[in-house]
Amino acid sequence: MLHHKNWRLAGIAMTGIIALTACSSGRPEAGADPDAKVTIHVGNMPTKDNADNLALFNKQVAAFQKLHPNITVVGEETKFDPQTFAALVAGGSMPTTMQVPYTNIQQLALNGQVRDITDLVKGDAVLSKLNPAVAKQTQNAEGHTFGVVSAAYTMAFIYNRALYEKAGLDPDAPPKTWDEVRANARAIGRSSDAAGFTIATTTNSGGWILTTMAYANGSAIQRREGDTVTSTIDAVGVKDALTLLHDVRWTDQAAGKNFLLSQDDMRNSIAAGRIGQTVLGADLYRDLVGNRDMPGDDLGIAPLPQSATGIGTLGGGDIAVVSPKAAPSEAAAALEWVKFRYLNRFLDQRAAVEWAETSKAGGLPVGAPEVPLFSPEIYDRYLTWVSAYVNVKRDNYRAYFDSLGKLPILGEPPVAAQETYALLDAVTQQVLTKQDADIPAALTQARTDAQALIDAAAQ
Amino acid sequence: MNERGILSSGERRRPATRVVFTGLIVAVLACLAVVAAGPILWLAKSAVSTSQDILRDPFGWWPSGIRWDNLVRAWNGMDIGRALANTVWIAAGNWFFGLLVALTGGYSLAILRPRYAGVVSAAVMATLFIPGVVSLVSLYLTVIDVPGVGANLIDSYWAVWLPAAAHAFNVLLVKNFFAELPKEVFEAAKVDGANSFEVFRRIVLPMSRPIIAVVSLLTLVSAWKEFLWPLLVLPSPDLQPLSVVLYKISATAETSTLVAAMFIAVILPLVFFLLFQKQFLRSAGRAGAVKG
Amino acid sequence: MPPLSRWTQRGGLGKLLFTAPMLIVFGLFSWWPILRSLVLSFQRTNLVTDPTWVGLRNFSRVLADPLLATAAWNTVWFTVLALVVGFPVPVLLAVFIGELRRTRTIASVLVYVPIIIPPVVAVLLWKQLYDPSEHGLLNTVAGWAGLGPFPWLQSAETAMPSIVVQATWAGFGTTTIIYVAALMSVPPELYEAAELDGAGVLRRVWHITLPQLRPVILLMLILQVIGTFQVFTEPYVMTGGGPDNSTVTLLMLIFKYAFVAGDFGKATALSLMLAVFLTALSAVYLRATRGWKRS
Repeated sequence: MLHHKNWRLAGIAMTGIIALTACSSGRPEAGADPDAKVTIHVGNMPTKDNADNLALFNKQVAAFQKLHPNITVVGEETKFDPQTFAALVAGGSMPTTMQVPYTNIQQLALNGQVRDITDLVKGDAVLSKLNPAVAKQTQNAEGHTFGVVSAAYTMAFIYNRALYEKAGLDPDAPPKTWDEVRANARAIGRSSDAAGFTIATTTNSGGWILTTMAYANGSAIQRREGDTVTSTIDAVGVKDALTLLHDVRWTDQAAGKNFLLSQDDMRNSIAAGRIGQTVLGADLYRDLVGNRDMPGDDLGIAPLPQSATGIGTLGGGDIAVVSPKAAPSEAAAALEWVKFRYLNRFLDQRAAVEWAETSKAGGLPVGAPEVPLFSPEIYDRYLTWVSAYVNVKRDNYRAYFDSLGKLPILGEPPVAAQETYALLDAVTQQVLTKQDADIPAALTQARTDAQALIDAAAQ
Repeated sequence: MNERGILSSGERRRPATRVVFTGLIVAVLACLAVVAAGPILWLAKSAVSTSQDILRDPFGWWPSGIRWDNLVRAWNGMDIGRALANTVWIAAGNWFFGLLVALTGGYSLAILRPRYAGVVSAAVMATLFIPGVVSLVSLYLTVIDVPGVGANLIDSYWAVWLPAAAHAFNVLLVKNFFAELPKEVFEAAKVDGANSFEVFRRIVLPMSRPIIAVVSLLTLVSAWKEFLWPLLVLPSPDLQPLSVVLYKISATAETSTLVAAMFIAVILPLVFFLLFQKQFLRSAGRAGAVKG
Repeated sequence: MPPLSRWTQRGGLGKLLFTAPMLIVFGLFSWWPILRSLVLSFQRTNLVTDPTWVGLRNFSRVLADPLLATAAWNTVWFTVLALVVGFPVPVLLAVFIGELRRTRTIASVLVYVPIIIPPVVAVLLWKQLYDPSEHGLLNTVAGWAGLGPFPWLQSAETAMPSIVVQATWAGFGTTTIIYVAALMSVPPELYEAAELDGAGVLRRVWHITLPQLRPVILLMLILQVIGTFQVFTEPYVMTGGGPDNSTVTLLMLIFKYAFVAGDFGKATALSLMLAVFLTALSAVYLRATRGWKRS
């Protein structure tokens, strides 16, 4: 086991240190005429049932095209779906640019399923200002860049403030330890129909959240020494996290009734007030309040509780990537769009105000929890620009904001993260659906299987 | 229809048999109604209920009132109308190409009988016995890059229509039907100097109305049910049929809206079925007769 | 006369034109993919980078996957359960419907109704019915009998049986209607003779109806096995393979290899293995039952 201090360093660099066996070398992008007419297809266009977001999107498209008369932007509703992304790329229908989660970027880069944009981002005035720790997420071990971070967050403790009050708990004093989490789960279970504490367990979310909870309990699920990576799935922190889940589920009967929740199901359930406490990304304010009609005052977001040996929390976010089949001019135009849509508001006062004004008018949150993509100074300046439009009770999230500089942000397991998560999905499901689940035995088996995955990936 | 089944008319008139049999009929029909139609009636009820009522009180008769706006919200907000139109368009294409291939192929194999008919027939029928799973992945790869043409059919309805037309069972149905038509008619037409197109148009098509009905219903029903294939080959949300759209929104939509959308997806085929139930049941039975 | 025009004269061109749609469609979308599978299973490709020849490595990687045994077992379990639940019901129901006179249409319509529902809707609907809370619809019904609440899809023990019940509900109509149609061809004289011999109703069913249906039943049985072996939509939509991989099927594994992981060679290798198994199974079955077909 690594020491606490090393982990802080390791955490920041972890996603970066990946042995890439087959890496697509950067193609020379020179010669692309910046003023040539080009059409780009951009994914993640909000759907029609999401009218406010869609209006904002269309407004941005119009403004962008005015700014770049040679670029035509075609919006597509396509969004990242791990179930069919490989088909999307293989079938040639991946938009020129779309967002993918942090969790997937290394695998996609390794597979050549996203474009190497190293040459395009080099020397870019905006992109070079990005927080290096955040920007690192988009690079492989050799320093090649495969995307642009468009949003970042850390995994956090999510709770329902209304259910807290109903259970006689203080919503302004979120739990700092896992024992408190369990006690609060019991209280919520007693006072309502809602699940006191549960987590998403399907489509790799189970492994993702278990890994986060393991960090909070002092363990990572892989260890790297030189070139060898060892699975440490049966580490004590993983056991502790699973034991907590098991106790909440079986001893306290406070984990609800549904144990096959995907992240989407989970978000729906939280928005509908059926979940008291869980662990998810702190970025969900915009989705829950803006899209799923949850009252913003009910949504509690707090730093991830840490045990005495806790080593931090998992970082997450969205990365805008470019299709491997895009022509150089399309890739360049796509990057311009990405900067315009996702980053401009932090750097340009007019863009910030316009974004905040439109968002607020459409009932979308301004000032919701997020990890600053640029330096703290730039972020604070942005906050002052939009202060008149902030419609999120930022006081409710004070503890989370305060934790951002302090709680270490760790990366994903370096090798075969998604496949390992898939293995752990089954383990979390077992713990929640089988009373006599043998946690050590399940983890020993999972460790063997995970090691096989790591070894296979290294070949 | 047979004049008798297992029971003779004499037995049916016997009072004891009559009571038992009638009782049995009532019981089985009641069971069938609950099992088969029950879930759909519940769907109808829930389509206009609040989410809370659906989840908390599934048997309550609208404790929070009837919510017609669920249907409106599902229709407008989730683009159910567009998805429904896509489904109809997919079904129409599957129907047209399925019928075209089955009729021309059946005509060729059963009546024209070119020298290569035996080989082609064997090759077509062999696909009946090769499990579809072999080609799921490679069919996908074929659709991405159609050999000889070099076209990528992804995100176009051709990717659904054409593979669906390669349905050996329909060819077999039509071939068997044509094989039973009286040979003399074709011989007479040939003597009159009619070529194969005229024979097809003037004689075969008018006589094949029953089999056209059967193949039509079978292709339409299976087109309505397609899920995995359109999920793969139609990644653009604005092209996807109902089944795929419903699956996609099931993760994010509110329960009441989702149930309303599901109800809309059921209504059209259900009405269609009730209107044409005789033809439906005959086609289904006929399909079995050929399999036997 | 040159051979080509003689060929045209005899209607060769017409014949070819009528065969062409079938040849094109089957050639491109049936035979070619099958050939392609054979090649692909020896390659490693994600369709973005260049494919490489890997010999039998795809097959060995499939066999090394710890999930393979689970998925194979689940698939067999699903098939067995589906046969136990889904096989006798249509036969009995068909025999019964065959005896109906005035209520025959209504019974057939009821039986056929679930077929009309698009599978995804049926599955989502049942997911709703399987709500594991005590307020769930099926749990409410069970509660009337003093049972439950059951976890349905939320437990490794009950998830697969729950999926089988849904699949049976969605599928029993087709088979029933086919049997009903087949029953029409049973000669009434057989029943006449049996009745004269003094055979009761049940004995007539056992000695005449079922033997007469035998060829159809035997065929439907193998078709059902082949069909259930390729189950996908139900577990994919209802449980995503959980809990604890208890409902992961072979086709879901193929889907995962190909479209989630982008490992098309590995997916094809497993497809081929499954296809060879099913083809062998049908061949053995058809040979073994050849003698039974005659009543």
